[in-house]
Amino acid sequence: MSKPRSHLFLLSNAFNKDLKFTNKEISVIVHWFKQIIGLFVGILCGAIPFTGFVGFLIFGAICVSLTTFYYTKLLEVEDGDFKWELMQEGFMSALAIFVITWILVYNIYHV
Amino acid sequence: MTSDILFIIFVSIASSLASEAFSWVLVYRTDSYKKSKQTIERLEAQIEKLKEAESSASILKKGKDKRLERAEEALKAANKDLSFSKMKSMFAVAVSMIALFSYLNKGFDGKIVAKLPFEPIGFIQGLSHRNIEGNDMTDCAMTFLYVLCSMGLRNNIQIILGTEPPKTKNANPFLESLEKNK
Repeated sequence: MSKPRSHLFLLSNAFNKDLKFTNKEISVIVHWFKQIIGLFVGILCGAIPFTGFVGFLIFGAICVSLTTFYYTKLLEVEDGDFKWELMQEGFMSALAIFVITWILVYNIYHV
Repeated sequence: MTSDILFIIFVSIASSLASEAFSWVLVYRTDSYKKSKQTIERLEAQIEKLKEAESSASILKKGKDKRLERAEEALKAANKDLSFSKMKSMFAVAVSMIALFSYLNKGFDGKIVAKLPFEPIGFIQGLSHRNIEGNDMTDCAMTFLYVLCSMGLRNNIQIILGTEPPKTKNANPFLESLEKNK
């Protein structure tokens, strides 16, 4: 068996079409994508600022649509069970990161 | 307010790093832990291969089935060993987390640490408005931020350090015995 590839390597080569990823590696990439999206959307929502339920909607829409686009269109994952797994992968911690940065940036600029 | 938020985030990161370091001293560096982790990885790969072979073969052979079963049994046992070896460190970490939390609770008692950009729904208000006077639900108490931090940051720190618990169905020894009793 080949040596496991590091998370950083996987992330930087996520759009490299020459590489084949195992299911485990795909879920690692999707996990980190979600955390990064959570961070950026949190900063965005805090800076503008969006308040109330709208913020959560924006985060949910961006997070799900971007990652789904990534693994269905670019990686062409077809297995239904695995897609469902990928959809849930890291979502709760991404949501928490989103809310933390949202609160932090909102408090810095608007309170 | 901002400094309070940053302080809570910092404390949460520091405490999860400390608890990982503590678990490393007690568990992760021991040979028995390394050995059972290796066993688990090997068995998982083996089971995946056997399952693939089974789905590609149209006729179900009894022998193959048995091999898969045996590998799954071994995986269960290895997972059980792993979680038992983690038990004592988990207990120590839990006690120190509770101590830290009650210390923080004393320091931030009744203090508004942040303004929320949203109004939390029902049951979350119990967390976000804990020990705070007044009816403005966008006032946020320390508890809510701390819970968020431990949800979002601790998990990611464990993944970066490569110490996250394995995501198998029977990782919990108590759950397994429950299933057997059914």
